[in-house]
Amino acid sequence: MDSDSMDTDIVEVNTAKQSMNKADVTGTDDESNVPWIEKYRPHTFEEICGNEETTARLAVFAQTGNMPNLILAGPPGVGKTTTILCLARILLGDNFREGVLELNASNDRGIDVVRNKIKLFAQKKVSLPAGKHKIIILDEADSMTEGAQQALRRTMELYSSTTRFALACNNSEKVIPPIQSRCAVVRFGKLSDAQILDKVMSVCALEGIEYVNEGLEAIVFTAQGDMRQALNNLQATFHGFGFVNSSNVFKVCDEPSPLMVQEMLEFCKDGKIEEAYQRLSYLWKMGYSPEDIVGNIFRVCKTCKFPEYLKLMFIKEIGMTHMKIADGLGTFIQLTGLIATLCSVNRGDE
Amino acid sequence: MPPKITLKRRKRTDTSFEERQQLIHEIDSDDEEIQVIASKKTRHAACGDQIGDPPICPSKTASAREGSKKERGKSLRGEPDQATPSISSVSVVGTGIKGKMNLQKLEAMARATTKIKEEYTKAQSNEKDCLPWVDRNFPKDLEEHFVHKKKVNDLRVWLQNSLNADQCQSRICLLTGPTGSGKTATAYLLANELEMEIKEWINPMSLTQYEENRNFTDEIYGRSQTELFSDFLLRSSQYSALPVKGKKKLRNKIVVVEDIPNQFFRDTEAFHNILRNFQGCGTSPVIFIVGDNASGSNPMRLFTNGLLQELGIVQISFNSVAPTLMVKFMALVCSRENVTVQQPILEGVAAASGGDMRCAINTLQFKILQEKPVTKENGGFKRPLPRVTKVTRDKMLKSEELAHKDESLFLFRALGKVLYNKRNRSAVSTVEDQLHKDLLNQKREFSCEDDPEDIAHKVEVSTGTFIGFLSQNYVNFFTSIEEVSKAARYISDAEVLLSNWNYEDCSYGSNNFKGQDRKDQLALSIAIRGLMHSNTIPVSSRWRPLKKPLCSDVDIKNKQIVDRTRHLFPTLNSFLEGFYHEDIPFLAKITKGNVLNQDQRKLVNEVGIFKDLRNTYKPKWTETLDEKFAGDEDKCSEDDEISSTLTDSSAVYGAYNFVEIKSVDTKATVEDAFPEDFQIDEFED
Repeated sequence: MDSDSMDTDIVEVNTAKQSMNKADVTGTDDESNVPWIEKYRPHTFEEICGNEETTARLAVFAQTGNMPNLILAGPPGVGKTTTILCLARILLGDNFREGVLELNASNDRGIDVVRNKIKLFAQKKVSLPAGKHKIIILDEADSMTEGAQQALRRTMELYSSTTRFALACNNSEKVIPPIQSRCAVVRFGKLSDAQILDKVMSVCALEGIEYVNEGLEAIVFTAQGDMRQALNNLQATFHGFGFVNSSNVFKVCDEPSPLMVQEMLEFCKDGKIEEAYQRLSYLWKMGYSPEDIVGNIFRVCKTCKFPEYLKLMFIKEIGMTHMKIADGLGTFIQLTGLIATLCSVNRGDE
Repeated sequence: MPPKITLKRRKRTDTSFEERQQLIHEIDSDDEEIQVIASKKTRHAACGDQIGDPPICPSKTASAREGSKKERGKSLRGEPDQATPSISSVSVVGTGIKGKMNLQKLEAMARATTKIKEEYTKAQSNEKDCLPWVDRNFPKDLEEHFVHKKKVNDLRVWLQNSLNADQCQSRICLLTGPTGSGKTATAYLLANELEMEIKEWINPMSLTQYEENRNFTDEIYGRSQTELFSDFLLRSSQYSALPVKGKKKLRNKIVVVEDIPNQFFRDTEAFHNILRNFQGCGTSPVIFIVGDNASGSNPMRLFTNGLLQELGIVQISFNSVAPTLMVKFMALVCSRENVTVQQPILEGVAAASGGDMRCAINTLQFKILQEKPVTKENGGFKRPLPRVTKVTRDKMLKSEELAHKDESLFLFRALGKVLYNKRNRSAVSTVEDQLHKDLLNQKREFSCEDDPEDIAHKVEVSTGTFIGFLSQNYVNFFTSIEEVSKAARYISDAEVLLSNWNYEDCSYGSNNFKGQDRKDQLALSIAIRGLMHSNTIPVSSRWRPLKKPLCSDVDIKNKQIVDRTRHLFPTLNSFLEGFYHEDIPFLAKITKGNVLNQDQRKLVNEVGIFKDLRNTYKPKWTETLDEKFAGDEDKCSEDDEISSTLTDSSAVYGAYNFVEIKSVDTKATVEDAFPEDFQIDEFED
């Protein structure tokens, strides 16, 4: 371990210098301060990663106009808002600024906002070409109160000749049925690791980032199918250390190292409780929260190559421990208990 | 002061924008009338045009144009209208002197407005292009309407009765039903047919702050929604709309309330009082349209049974649209939109939307839309290529359909993958050797064809639903009872994981989604892996029907009952564990005195008296799962004819609800009297 970190330290020093130089060069550029997630936010449908089918569909609407009201449902960081902004930009062109009302959870979105602000916007006259409409984007619609959603439902119909709604949400079930009925529900799936890797690599090339493959793997692992997180982590790692390798990434993201967790699970499989305990207590002493540790154990376990039965039992035990921890029993003894149970699974004593 | 006055006007008519639109329409309606007279024939107005317009202002009516044409014949002759409103077409054109004068005047106007009309029709056709399919393809008349004829007739009978002053039945009607089942559409179409003017309540904008105890005389300042609503309800039924030039007044009005002011959810009593007031002095019938979903602020909560019976409110409950009717209507929509769609796709969309017409059309529009056909304006420059586009369109549809199937695993396929448990016979997995020798019976030589995580990842429905489906269906796919018991254990583990977490407030806080997500993943992973692992000798891949989980119905019912109880017994602590199996059964035994009101009595009888389960409990084995089922958690659409409920049939045809009240009472007392003890004994056996 020690020699490893030594190596990376040296590399860090070198690359830190390089990045300093680079910063001097690009310092005058305004864009250098922009978060990458904004800088590399796609502006056309071709640039959007993943969910090709869905985006292709929406691209057609961007051309023809007259889209139905939409609900975009999917996990965070898969490009829901990006897609709808793309659509609005292409659809409205120069009128984008006045033709789009974007409200997200940080805006006050009580009933009175729906009743007043949204209605006023819907009534506003914006001269648009035929078939194009003003668009009201309600981000994180599932966090709107139910009353506000109720107030929205008739509004959606009344102004359908001039205004369309696009609701982005994580969980479409939290949108009340009347609203769901008035919209076409578009589902976004998680991005695959390959898609994220692809984008991360292209950003690396554009920014001139030095990396090792393990570093990018770590970025993809921590992102969990969330492009926003991937780019943020990449930027943070780059600005912090100037070089992307796995230890740097995990320092930035501050997650229990999956490599260590994997080692631990391997030892559990072989029933070597002492070694497994060492890894666990190391993680514990690093100060990670029990939720994070057990969560990462689960994620690593899913991808491990274990016999089917072991995997099933492991996941089951992890789940049980996870539940206890979530109930407030986040003690070290729960985690060690988990290790002990896992070790006994493959012993056949039962 | 002028600014204040404008403010008030805004409130009344809601918007100046609508006013403008309305004026345009009035010009148009003039124009159409002239055409009718000139060509001496009655023409059925295309009401598709009007429906798309926002029916906002109280004075603006959806049926104004069509109705006015028909009525003009009568009113011009100056005869008092004695005709029953059910006469749907009057084709006599006025011939009196007054009529002639009007005719000349109108003809003069016609010339003047031709130009305006041309411009307007152009604008209008554009506007029609702008509407989403749902609004553009609003059913033109009841002929093509997708709601079952019987329900339409129920409402028609009520509307006709409500116009007759002699039959002093209730003036309030309640339309319930799932979303997209055509409640609003039916109301509007019927009003059109019966020549009634629709006034719809829309929650007004509150631009000024309302303060409760403010001492002022200037009534322009904020008034509470409650007050406004009450005013609207009482006044709209008493006064008719301002006579605007060119628009003939319709004799009958109905008031439609779909957008119930929020305040009433907090203060139901205020709402009830307004309705009582209205019942006393209101004149025109009111239709309330509410959806019935089991969510928190469900508008149905406002209409308690007590209120329904007290005011004799007629309730007509719509069912979700039957698949055949949906396909039929969608085909009509497609033909109108000039797109060709294969039947199977329509059926798929219909099944996926679970009887929700509006949702189906939205989905259809989203799925089908192709490159815009070349419009007339561009026609000169771009050559239309009909044949080529036709072929590519078909091709596109096909590829899309396939792509869609691959992209998101339909529930059906995901279930099949787990339950049939196909193993890849060629790939012997090497890792299995790592198992301890004592665990050899757990060894699975062949790896699964699909990675369980992959299946879990692609499931579109919520985890709870998916696990519900699995637990409903897994038994049929097993061959030995030992394995069933193992599988049951895993499913129970998964359900424990799913239910018991209070992630809501603790640990993850605002990042709730991730916690929820992980919990779902864990449960799903265990359920899928558990089932796949424990089933060593899966049944042959013969077709086996899949059923919908029974427990989801029970869950919904449970939720409804809890909701109702909290509402009806606000003073009792219904969170206590014993409340439902101790307090309520004892309450059910208290038959005398006025301990409970009618609603409470009904609930208590429903919950607290155990019926003979062997007779009443019939599992719905017929509810098989369709291939295209997309995981709608609502109950599936029933055939309309079978499920006409007691309330609506007796209420509508009997016009009085006494019959029903009586029957409820007698039922309750009979059940109270003796069979109950007997039944409980049986239940305990």
